[in-house]
Amino acid sequence: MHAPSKSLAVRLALVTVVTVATIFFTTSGLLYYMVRDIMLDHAEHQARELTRATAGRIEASLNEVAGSGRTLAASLTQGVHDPEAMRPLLESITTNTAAAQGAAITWEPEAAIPGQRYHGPFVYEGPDGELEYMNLGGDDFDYFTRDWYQIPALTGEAFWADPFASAADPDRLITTFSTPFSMANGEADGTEELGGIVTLDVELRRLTETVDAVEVLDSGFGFLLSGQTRFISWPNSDWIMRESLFSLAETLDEPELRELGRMLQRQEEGFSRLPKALLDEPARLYHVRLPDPDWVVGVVIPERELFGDVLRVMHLVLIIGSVGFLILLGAIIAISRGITRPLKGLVTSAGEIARGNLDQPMPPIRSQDEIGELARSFNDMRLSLKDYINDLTATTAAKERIESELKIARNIQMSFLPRRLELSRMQADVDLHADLLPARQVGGDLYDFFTMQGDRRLFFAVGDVSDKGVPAALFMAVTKTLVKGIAEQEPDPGRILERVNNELCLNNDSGMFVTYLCGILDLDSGELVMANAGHNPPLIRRVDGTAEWLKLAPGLVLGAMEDMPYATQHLHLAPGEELLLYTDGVTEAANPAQDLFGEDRLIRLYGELKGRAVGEQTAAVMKAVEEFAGEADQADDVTVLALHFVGPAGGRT
Amino acid sequence: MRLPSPGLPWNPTRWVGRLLALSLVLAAGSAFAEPLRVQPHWVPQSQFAGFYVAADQGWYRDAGLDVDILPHGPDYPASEALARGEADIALLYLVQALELRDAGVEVVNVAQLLHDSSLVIVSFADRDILAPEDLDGRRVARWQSFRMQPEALFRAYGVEPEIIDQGSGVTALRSGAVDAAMATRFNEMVELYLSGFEPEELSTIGLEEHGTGLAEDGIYVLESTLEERPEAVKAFVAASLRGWQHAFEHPEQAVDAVMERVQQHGEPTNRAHQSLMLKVLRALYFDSDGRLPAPVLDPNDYLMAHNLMNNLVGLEREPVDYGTFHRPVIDARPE
Repeated sequence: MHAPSKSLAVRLALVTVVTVATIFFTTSGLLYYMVRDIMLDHAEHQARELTRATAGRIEASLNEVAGSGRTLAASLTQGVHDPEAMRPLLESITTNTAAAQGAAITWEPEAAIPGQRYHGPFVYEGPDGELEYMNLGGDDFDYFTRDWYQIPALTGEAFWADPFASAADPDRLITTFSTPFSMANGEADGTEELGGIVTLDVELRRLTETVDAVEVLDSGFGFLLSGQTRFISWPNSDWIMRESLFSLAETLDEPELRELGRMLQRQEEGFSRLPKALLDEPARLYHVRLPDPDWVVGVVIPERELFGDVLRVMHLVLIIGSVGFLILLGAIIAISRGITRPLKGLVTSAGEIARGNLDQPMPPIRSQDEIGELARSFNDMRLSLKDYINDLTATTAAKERIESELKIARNIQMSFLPRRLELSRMQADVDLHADLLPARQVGGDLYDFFTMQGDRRLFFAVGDVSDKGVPAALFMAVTKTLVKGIAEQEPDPGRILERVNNELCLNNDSGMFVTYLCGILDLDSGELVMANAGHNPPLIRRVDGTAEWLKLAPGLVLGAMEDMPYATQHLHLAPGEELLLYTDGVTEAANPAQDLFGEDRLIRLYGELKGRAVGEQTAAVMKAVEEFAGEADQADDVTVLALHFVGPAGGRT
Repeated sequence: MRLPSPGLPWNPTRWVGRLLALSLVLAAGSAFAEPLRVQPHWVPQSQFAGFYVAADQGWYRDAGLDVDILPHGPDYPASEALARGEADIALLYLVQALELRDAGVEVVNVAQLLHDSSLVIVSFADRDILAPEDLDGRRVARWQSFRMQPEALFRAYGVEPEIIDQGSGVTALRSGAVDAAMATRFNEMVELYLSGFEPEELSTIGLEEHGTGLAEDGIYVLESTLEERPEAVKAFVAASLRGWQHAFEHPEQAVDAVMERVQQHGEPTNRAHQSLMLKVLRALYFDSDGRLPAPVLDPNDYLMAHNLMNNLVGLEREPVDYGTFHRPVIDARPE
């Protein structure tokens, strides 16, 4: 017996665990992404509030500065100030504007003081916090081309310069608010022209402190970028004022950063993904773009922290799930082993039974499930099989006995039939030969011949019992015995048949009958008397060799009805004439196509057998019948009897 | 721009000192490195990468030179440093050198590095300034020191823009204060790119393409310096050309050298800017075969520059001939 390549237990466990695992992981994955989305929504909400609040604080500071600048510009436009005595005002503005650390007024060429190209009173906080004063402008400081002067001068609008590092202290970031003021141009029409630019310096420390103070979870942070996405506030201090998203996009070869930069320059506010390159880990950012200056305030939250809790829960779920799978696997293997162990016993027993060992007991299975039922059915089958085989053995023995008895019966039956040898005791005035081939072990056909009354008369007969097999054989034996016994006392064939008929009809409950044709030949005179009880007509071959049917008076079969008359027909055989008696086994022999051998074929055949010895004639007829039947089963007993009348001794010479 | 007065004060003490130093060097053979002060015409950036690389590779020292690359600020032109004798060697645009000549300072070009103009007039694509004609009546910023080339362009196309003196960068353009501004391909154009502008969002009018471009960076010395220290000048030029070739072939190393100077001077630039600048310069410097051409000034460039100057601002002096102005110490292509 082969070991199964994949046991049921393993297959069952595999299919179950894979199915359950698929469901589990799909569910977990979906759950993870759903919870992630919820977390992301919360984070966005939190980040939005925080960013807006921070942006609001920065805007408030910047607005304060812008407000002071605009107020100063407005008062300068009204022309109420003496350009040469601006220091107290500038000091007061610097002091009173919390976010400003310096203020200056720079005039157009010669606008403040005739003949003087530059005039730029400037008050600023010195390194020690004291307010200091200087006058801007000169050959080495041509402020007219400075962005903070030129741009508001050209546009007429206020302008926030990009943050720049203080020349005195690179760590101090400064930006400048500048706004133009007008002056009456002295013409009568009251038109005004540009008077100059008011500037307020803002140290960004307080703004960046506001941004730096932003805390989101543990590692989230706030940031501030310039309009060109240059870093003003960012955890990596090396990047401050040096790098921008665009420069990092080039240096780190991360086009995503450039896309982010352009998005921040265009989108007022939003929640987006931060390219991994910036923090070396995935993160989200929320940003708000300030209206003026166009800086970007935002917060960054690393995904690690954002999704940390979810991930921890998911890890736990996965661990529990994995342990669960192992337990499930074990349980399934255990259950399926429980199922397959008795099956293995059954397999062994079945193998034994297949080898014929029906005494092999079934393994004891007490379970009430299908396996138990299977085992019980299997055992029932084994017992039934055993009984059946016992029966079969007995039947076979009985059959063998019957067959052997039939063989004996056949021998006995055959021994009833006279043999050729018995004729040799007669004067050889006649040649006679008969063959009988029963369809079964024993048959219902019979032939007979014997001499009567001093050996000069020959009795011969052919008969056919209506049935076959043992009953027919017995009936045939009875008929033969009766004929023989009666023929001893009665020389007339018709009378013999009448008496035999009556004897057979006595107590013939079986309803069997027999066709019978008999004749008595006087060997000296050639006188022949014949009687027929429902048998096939015989064939006669005249001396000239022509074969013809011998017409006999009809008579009823023997054993059918009592007191039936049977006519005795008187004939005469000339020396050399021959007779052929046969049973319907010859003429009704069928080939596989169900054609019958037929009387025409028989008479033709008989005609061709002219001049042959009687033994050869019977053999030829038997052979022709056998050849005609071919593969078809022999349906009936076949009997042929051939007789050649030689005539008295003189006739033979 | 302030130019030094034609009669530069003669300082005999300095010359005596120099002669003394020279004689000492000659006496000691190559045991003493000869001091050489080099004045770039801008703050440290990749525009001078070749000199930094040559210095870092020790090629100046190997040539017996003790080269000191001087710092530079936007308010102090290199031409003045050269004129005042505060630098032995200056990097100048051709026009700046001609102006010095016209002011009576006898500068000579010993090597021409950048043969074409890198200058453009840049605007935003949505401002409809696509050709020089579109500049008419528009507000255009241009550098005072480079005023002649755009001026020539305006004249050539008969346009009259409102001219604004340009500060250092292109902030005025970005803020909308001007419609167009001048830019170099290697610096301001890179700056715009690194401010988030895509090339297709900008429109540029190249001066070279419109026939008013002039040769730019060249190495200049006073005629007297060349006469007194021809070997030192030649050695400097040779080592510098080698430095340039190396810089373009090893851009990472060159940018490292630039960034080192940038950090020393606390310039608010970054590596990306300098890398891109070097990349643009490479295209401007190199011939089509990927090598530096011979450092020779095209006589036509010289003539054209003179004509431009004469037409636009007028010349005070009769220009010296090409051979006097351009004295290439090396006239073959560097290996």
